[in-house]
Amino acid sequence: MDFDGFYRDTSRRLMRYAYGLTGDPGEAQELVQEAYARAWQRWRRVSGYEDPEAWLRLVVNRLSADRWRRLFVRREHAAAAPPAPAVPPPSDDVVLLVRAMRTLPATHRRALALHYLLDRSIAEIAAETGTSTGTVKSWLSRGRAGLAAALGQESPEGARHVR
Amino acid sequence: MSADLDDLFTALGRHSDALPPAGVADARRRGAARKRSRALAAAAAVLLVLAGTGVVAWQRRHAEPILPATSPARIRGMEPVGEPLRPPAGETWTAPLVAGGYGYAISASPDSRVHAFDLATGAPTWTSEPIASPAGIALSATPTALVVQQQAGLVFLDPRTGARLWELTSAPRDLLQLHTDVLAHFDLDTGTIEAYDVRTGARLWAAAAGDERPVTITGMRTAPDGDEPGFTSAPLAVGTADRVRPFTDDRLIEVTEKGGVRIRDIRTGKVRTTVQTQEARPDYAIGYEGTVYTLWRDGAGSVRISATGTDPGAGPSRVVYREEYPDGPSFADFYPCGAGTVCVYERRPTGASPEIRDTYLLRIDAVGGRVLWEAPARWALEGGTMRVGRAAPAAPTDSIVSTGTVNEAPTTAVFGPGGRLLARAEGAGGIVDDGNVLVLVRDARSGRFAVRAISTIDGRTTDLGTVPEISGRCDWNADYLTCPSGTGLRIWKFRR
Repeated sequence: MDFDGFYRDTSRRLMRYAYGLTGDPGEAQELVQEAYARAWQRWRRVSGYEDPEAWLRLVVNRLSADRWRRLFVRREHAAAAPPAPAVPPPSDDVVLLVRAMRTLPATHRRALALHYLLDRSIAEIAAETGTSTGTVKSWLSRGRAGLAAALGQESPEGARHVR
Repeated sequence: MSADLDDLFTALGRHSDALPPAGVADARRRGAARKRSRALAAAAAVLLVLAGTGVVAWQRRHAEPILPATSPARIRGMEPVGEPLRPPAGETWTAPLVAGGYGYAISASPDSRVHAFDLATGAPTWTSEPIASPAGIALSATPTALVVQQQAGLVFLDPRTGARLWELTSAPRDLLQLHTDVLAHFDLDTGTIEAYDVRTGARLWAAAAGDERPVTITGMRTAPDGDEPGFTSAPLAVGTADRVRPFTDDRLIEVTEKGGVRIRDIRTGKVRTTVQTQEARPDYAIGYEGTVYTLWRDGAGSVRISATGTDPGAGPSRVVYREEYPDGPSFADFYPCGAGTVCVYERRPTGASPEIRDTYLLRIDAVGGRVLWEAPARWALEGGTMRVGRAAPAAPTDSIVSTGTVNEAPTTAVFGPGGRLLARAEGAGGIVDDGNVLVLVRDARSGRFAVRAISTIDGRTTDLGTVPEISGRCDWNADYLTCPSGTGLRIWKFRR
């Protein structure tokens, strides 16, 4: 498998996942590029994995949870002040969902992102996260409930219809 | 607006797909830069060793103060104080704080006010005028001022009356350090440091950026501070976002872009000492008992931590920890954990995959760089905190308290001498005093919390009682515990 082809085939999906986890387009782009840079560094090994894309998601998970990394990125941005990426404005629905996702624990966000953004089944999420299907069901259930509560605060309509 | 979850996520996915990726060339360039940096770092290390400068002899010349052994009485129970304090209609309690003989909390949204109450009786004492939006709001206290932290800056109130004393507007990027009597403000854009009297708001001194521009400021924590240090994105970067405590020592640490450390008298601004750390532009600094610990990420993305003594005759700075990610152990977190020691959370590959890692806690001698002990700390997988302060250097057992969360399940562990695990409980907790740790363990069926005290001296656990379902963070000191719940703010007094 060639690295460029792998990037071309998977980067959009990884971007979806990172966006779902972080709710921030710039942060998601940074995470995705960092994950691919690390994959490129050890491409011979990573390309031999059964599911290199899952490895990339693991890297994104780790990076998104690393408070030190956020500090580094903030410092670097403060020092270099690069131009903000050209991003189309999100719709009202996206804004509401992102805001609601930010209120959830990381495990719930991860399960919801895998299920709704990458169409992964409960069994696949369990395999990827190293947990039982029961745990994944619990994460999804509680994640949906958390979204309903958060969306309900934003809009009573949201609380009624989220499922 | 459609609120069907499938539709919402479809909209999110569509928006994500419209974002321009940085491209494969950028990922390659970034990866290649890492490889070059690693190669250069390896070559430099070889040259240093060949030149005979690879070993830094840093003798500890400053004597440790001999502290009398402390033996705080074991907490044996707790009694409710007064009736639960009801929040104003339609509002909830947030950000409870226990300081001195008083408790404080904020009634949140839409009209945020600070409320004070007498801990001995539970009786309300005053309610402040409206403050501002509750978003990101937090409380901390000095002996002469109650500090309300919010997005636009800080508001200072009289802790006895709630009267507004003064306020400080700050930008989100600014750094603020809260001392018991002084607030230091660092403007990252101009490099200027200003200091204010926390009671009056009078400007005490200012220092312009000068030739060697500062990149960060921090306080010198000492054992009595009982601080729980950790990174926070909130402007008042003292301790964790949850528990912000002022530091008591008069040394303000200023780290410059060239890696210099200036120690200023926080009351006058005068430079007392200047020392040099290992490298320029450190990413983070924290001071503890005369030593400044600085953290860098090198061009390859790896972290290293240096210890720099600031007392006379302390010797040169030295690297005490170096990350070996991605092939070896990776850095997760660190805190000073007693005079002359630093604790590091490290993740080690399990063998299944480079990214599947177990977490360990290492206690490292900051003088010689030797690992004093290490212990599994799986609970810190998703981030751990560690109390540094009274319990670490002064307690007879020299205990270390480690807390963390895995899959939302919090754990609190107490380590004794040599890294021996004295006790562990499946709940969130923190240190009460030199001899006691408090843990709140949630019962999944009832939603109530069992409150337990763990002795840091012998590891014995005492059940103190239960509290109703909690709606936010609790706060406590050596005498009182206060927790917000759906029905009100409750207070308990510890029984010894």
